[in-house]
Amino acid sequence: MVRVLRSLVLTLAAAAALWWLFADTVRHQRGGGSAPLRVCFWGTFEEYGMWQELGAEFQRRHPGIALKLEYVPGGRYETKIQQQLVGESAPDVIVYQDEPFFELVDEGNFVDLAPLLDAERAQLGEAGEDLEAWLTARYWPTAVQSFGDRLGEPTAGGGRRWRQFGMPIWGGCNLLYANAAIFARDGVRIAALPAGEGLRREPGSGPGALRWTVDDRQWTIADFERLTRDLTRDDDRDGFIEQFGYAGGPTVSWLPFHQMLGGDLLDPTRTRTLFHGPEVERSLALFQAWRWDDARRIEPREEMGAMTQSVAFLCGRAALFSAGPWEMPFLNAARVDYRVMHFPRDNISGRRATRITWDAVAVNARARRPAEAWALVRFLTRDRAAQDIIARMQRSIPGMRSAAATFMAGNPGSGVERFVEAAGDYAIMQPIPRHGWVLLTDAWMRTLDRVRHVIPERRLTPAEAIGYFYSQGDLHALLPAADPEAAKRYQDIYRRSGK
Amino acid sequence: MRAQARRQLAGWLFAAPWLIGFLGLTLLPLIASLALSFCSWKGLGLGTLRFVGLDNYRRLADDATALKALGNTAIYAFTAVPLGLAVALGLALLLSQKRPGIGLFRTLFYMPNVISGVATVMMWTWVFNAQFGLLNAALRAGARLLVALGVGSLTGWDPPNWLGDPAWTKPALVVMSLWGTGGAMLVFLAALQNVPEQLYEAARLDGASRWQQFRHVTLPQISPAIYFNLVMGLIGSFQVFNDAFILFGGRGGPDDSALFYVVYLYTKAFQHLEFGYASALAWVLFVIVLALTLLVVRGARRLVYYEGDQ
Amino acid sequence: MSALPPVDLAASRRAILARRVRAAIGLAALCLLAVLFLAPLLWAMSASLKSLDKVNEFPPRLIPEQWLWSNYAAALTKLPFLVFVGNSLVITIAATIGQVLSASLVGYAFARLPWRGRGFWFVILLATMMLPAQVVMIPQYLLYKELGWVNTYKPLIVPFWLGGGAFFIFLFRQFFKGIPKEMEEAARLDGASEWQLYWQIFLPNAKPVIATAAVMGFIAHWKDFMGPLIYLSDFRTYPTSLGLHMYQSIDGAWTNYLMAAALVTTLPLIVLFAVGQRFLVKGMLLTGSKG
Repeated sequence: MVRVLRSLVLTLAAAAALWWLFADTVRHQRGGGSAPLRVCFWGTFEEYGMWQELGAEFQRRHPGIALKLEYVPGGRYETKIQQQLVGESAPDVIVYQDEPFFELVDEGNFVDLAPLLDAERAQLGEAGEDLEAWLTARYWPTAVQSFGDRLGEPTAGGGRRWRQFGMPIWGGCNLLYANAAIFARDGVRIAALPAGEGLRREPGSGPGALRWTVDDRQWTIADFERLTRDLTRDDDRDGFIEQFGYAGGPTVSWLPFHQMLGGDLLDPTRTRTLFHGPEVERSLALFQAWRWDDARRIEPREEMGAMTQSVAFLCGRAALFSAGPWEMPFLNAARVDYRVMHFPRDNISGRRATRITWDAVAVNARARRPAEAWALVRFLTRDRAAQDIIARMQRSIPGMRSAAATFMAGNPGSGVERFVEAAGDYAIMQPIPRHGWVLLTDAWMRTLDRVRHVIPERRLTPAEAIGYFYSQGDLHALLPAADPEAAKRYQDIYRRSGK
Repeated sequence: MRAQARRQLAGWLFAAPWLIGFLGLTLLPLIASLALSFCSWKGLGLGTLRFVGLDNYRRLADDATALKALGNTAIYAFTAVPLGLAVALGLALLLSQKRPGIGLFRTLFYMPNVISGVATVMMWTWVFNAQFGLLNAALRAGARLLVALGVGSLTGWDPPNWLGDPAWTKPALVVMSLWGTGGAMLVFLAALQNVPEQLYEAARLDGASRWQQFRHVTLPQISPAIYFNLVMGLIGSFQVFNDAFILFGGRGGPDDSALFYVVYLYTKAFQHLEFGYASALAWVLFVIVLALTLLVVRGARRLVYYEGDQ
Repeated sequence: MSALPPVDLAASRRAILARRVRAAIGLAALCLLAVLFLAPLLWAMSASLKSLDKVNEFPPRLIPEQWLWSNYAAALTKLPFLVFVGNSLVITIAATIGQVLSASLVGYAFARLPWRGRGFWFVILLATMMLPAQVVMIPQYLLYKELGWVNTYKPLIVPFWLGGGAFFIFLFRQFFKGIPKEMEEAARLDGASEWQLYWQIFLPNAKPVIATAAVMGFIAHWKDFMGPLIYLSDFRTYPTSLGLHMYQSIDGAWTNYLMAAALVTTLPLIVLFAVGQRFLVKGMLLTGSKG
């Protein structure tokens, strides 16, 4: 009796186990079933809260659409999305960054939204304009270009139709943050100055007295160097710096300066590398000088340990550092008093530049309900209510130009309007190739590392560094040099240096 | 006869869970990854999958960075594994004493394996800092002590720049791995507990010193555990990834001195989007580790003593 | 009748002294090392009590200026941590039980049962650990997707019931091989079946390795981040390892909250270990005629 009972129980358990294991398999293979509209995004718990607000607002407008938020915590967002894309199980609406965006576009992962936008424009009676111009008027030019492209199908008139693969949802450009406490203590004031003057030495001395006035709309790199050199302190003379005038970093932190000096990484077609010439050499020389001349004064490095430049700023070790609006939630939470300042201008050309980056929301080409997906995308990027929610988070410039007012309204007095000014004025796109962004930035970071190497014998001069850059085989297999002759010349210089 | 057959069947039945799991869940992905090593693929969708034959392997033979990564990994492995075994065994010996509160110490020494990665790496970045780090502060204090005792001089000596100097990044990672030998230590602890006390008594009666007891009783009795930790250590150290990846921000450290093979592989697969090449890299590593492990297995036949084999 | 050797008082006093000195040195070494091994825990505790601008300050201060106990309240209420812990418990307990059971079964097969191909399959077993997981990730994901197991707990639990990973199988094999043949032969003479041998003789004598496998397995599953990240998409199903990462993103980290939450969720692991290590006691094996 007991044995029969035991066999029965075991059989039932086995059946239950098999059902648990394979019921989902059968369901999946049969396909179908109603799935909700899925959208995925990254961020901290704050972004999660923002998306819950967005989701609730969307449901209010579209009560018939079931929405599911798929939140990916931590820093491995792209890995997860890539897996899902390969498995064709990615969500219907995907938020994605601009740098790797076109890799996915070229795989056919995102839907071209231009027809949907044209339909909407027709409804609004605004169909006359060119789509790109229409988008640029409502969003930022760099944003539209980051996710749209004109390599589309040829039109009847012999041109090419603009295609838009993602709608810009938010973004931001790098600007300078100034630690207000340090400025106050060291007597630096941000105020307008007469034309042509960017930095003025004031007669004060001693703690708290006014010593500098800086007009960040006019100042030049020379002014910047002067101010930051003054703000760099080694008060106890132990050879280690307590306060850095400017806590800079390589790659994207250096990109603004690199670009304003006229340098680039790619040629205008963005398919070949162009990393030589006097502008590039000047940029590399400046990068090196700020690290090694002035006896290691302006830029922090290994001394800082785990401290990145943003943390150096947070705990008052750096007077200035460069970041985008995404830094503000942390700064606000840490109750650090800051001011946002424009980048200085190049002394010689008067040019200003900074890098701007955008994130887009795109429709998965394999979305089951593309109409609903488009409704969500529309809501997130064309509805002022959604953009206002985003703007109030104060972590990025909202994609819609008209929502910039909401962004500037939060945090008054800290200079946030400069983000909007720069976005519309001198912010330029990063040199993102269609393929190989990571390869490119890897190569560039290595080059910058060699330029500021700790061991003097390994440190490269600008010309040698350019040759080193052109010697990165993997990169140049994918993105050949625009000027092979020049590249070869620099490579020879690097080889002859023996470093 | 029948008993033999029954034991054979029992063997298959007992091993069945793993066999089913292997054939059902593991084998297919393994074969797929082998097949991928003969293809080029971006890993973003099936459109870019192309068969390229032996191109990936040919490219690997000329890839100086891959060879450097392999060299770094080998140096790290052949340093970290023996040292790790020694440290783990030493700790286990210390912790196998019957002393009140030994449980507290055992828990403390296993802490590194319990705390998750983020805190650990942040802490090590501080410990290894050249200027303010704990390690260098201790070294400087030790040097000052030596000078005070009249041994050597301090002029021009600086403790190493652990994370900035290419020569010291691998030692830094070895130190990190030693700190995390909790797992191996635990295995040794369990093994030490199983050594019969009678053997020690018999040896003591024969007049053996503590060292001789260790050599002739302890070591042979725990040789299965040594073998286990050695093989696991070898396999694990050749695949070192997390510590190096997070400590150096996913790059190779100064002059690629901390570029380990699996870090390079990961970069190729998920950042440079060359999944086929990364698969080839993986299978080359597989062959190397397999060869080394078979060497150890062969050596184990002669050196490892199992109480249950007579 | 044997004469007792003369007692050398001085020598025995020296011996006692030597033993005491050795014990003291042993204790000192333990304490010193303990501090070293405690360091990250101390750093994490100190970071969890600081405000965000002080967390990564340099040079670091171990004792925070202000002890923000409110960080703990904030960290544990901003996110639904009870839900996360519950999920973690479900996944971890299910996976660990399966892992210990099946690894001991399979390890026993490799250690004590003669079956054809055992040597071959042992090499295969080791070989499964030699391929870096990164290149198997995507094919494995595709397999689980076809099985319909994506967005469920199954990929995190089922593989561990089917052998539980080569590491623990190998571990059990080593320990089972170390159990003397006499015990097995004696039981066999009594007519024990294979299952009874395993269940009643070998397993009870393997308490140290069971404890080791259970503790190590539990901790590994509790900490597992990549598995849940890839296979789970429903916020309410996330375990603590994912939940912790809500304090971290591409742009930066709330290190103080992260450390506070991490410490609280690590506490059960520490307790588990403290309890589990008690099983690492001398085995009750009796040797036969050894020595």
